[in-house]
Amino acid sequence: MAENQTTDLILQLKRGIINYDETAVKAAAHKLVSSRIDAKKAILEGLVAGMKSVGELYDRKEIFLPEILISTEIFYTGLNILKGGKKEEGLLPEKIGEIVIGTVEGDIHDLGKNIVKIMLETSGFVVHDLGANVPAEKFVDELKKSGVQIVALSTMMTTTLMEMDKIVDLVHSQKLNARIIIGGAAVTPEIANRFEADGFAPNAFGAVKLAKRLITGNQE
Amino acid sequence: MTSYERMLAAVLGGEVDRIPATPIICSASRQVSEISYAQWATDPDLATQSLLQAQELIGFDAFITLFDLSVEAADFGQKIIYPPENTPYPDYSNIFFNDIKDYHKLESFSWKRARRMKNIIKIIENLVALKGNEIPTVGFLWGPLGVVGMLRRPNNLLTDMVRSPQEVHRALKIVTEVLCEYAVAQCRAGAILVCLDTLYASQSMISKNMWEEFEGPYIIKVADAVRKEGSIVLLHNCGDRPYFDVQIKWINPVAINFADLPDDCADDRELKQKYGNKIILIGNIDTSILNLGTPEEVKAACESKVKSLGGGGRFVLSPGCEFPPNGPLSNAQAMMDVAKNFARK
Repeated sequence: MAENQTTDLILQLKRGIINYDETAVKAAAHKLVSSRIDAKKAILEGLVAGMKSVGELYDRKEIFLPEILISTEIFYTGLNILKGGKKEEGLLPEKIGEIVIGTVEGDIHDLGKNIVKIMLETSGFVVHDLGANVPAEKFVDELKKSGVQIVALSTMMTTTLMEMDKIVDLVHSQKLNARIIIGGAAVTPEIANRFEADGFAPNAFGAVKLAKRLITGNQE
Repeated sequence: MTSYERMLAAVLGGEVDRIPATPIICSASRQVSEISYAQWATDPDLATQSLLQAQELIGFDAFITLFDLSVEAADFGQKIIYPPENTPYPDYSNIFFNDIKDYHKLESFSWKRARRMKNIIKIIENLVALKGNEIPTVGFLWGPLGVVGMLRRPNNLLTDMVRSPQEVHRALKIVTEVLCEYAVAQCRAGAILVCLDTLYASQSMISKNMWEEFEGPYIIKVADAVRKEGSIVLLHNCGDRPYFDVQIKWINPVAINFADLPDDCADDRELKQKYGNKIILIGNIDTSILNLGTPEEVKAACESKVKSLGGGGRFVLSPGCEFPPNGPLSNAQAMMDVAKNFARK
């Protein structure tokens, strides 16, 4: 396949993610696979670049939940085609760090958590997603088992807010070497301070910035 | 003035003897009667007693019949989980619209055949019968998009709105028919004020254009049904950056209870300037302060809010959302203290 053709197909991937055009992403991904193009290049410059643009649009409130959810689904569709039977490791952006994520026990809302997850994955984080309604002990077990550096907790509800405090206490009392970041509709920076969490993120974009800062010490 | 007179005067833009206040004590009332959340959500007589006891203790100016956001969905057939000490929620392992094709199984029904809606009507009747002359009872309904979201799960609904809009519209039409009848029943039970929850009209959920396409044309029917009964339409929107402009355009509410500044206002001053003459502002104390703050912190937040939004009246002091179900009731009392204190100044 000619180089300019490859470039066009990768651009088609990126635009397909931004314009939530699943047909275009599938077609481009299949063509790239059949031409044995470097999957990592296609994923990073096409799919990941597209998701970064989508994240920026969402952060600027130019798009909203329906659009970002569909872009995310299309991202995973494209990723599955491009990676073939291979594992994702080595195909996504260079690893910055790992992060455990979940919605706390008693809360089944996972929409926001899932958006944070995709933004982290496309920014170089390996994400251990525990899902929604996750008991405090499960977060702690996962941190112990994986040795992961950051845990991100989400909740939408005031009734489950104290679960976050419980998890912070467990992490601290068991002297686990993990930083705790919290977010969700029921959470504020003041609550993060009160619970002695290591940070608060108001949205997915903020969560990525915060996680990067905690890992690298850099602002970006 | 009685609370009834005060709230009615406030929402109609009249003179009041003091700032009206409602800490939106709903499920938190069960703390007074020492019953479980599940009991409170499913037993109308226990719920009535809880609300009455809480009002007696705290002295708030309105009963708000916001139970949980699963009331309507439960009666459409969604299986609901009732945790002992947490808000009821749909069982997402057994979702009513599991597939896009399932939208077609939705059928209209009368609230009279419904268990949870019927309970709410009974609670309104009870409260009106016992305290109707003193304390107004505010009806409450989840908007059409909210109800469909509980039947389909919000993430699925949100993508369906882009991929299969016709299916969503079909469901919204049926849900709206039921909500109109339910709203009328709330009015006839004695709810002089009826609050519609329009969370989707905010940056937390969807674009303004999408809301105008998917909820505006439906929720206006519910609002009109309320007005036709002679009751007053309020909105509740606890999303980020709610869209006041399009909600006013479609629904023409008398008042909006909000948690965050509207998307077109930078601060309280601009909010008051832009919308203070169009609607009564109800809000917007941060529920996290009510949940975790001290009474002194709550008082400071309330005083600051009264100063920024209360000037010239047309304001009701309240949180941006329901009082935290497990939050300390002393913080609700602190809010009422501020409202009462401002009467004397």
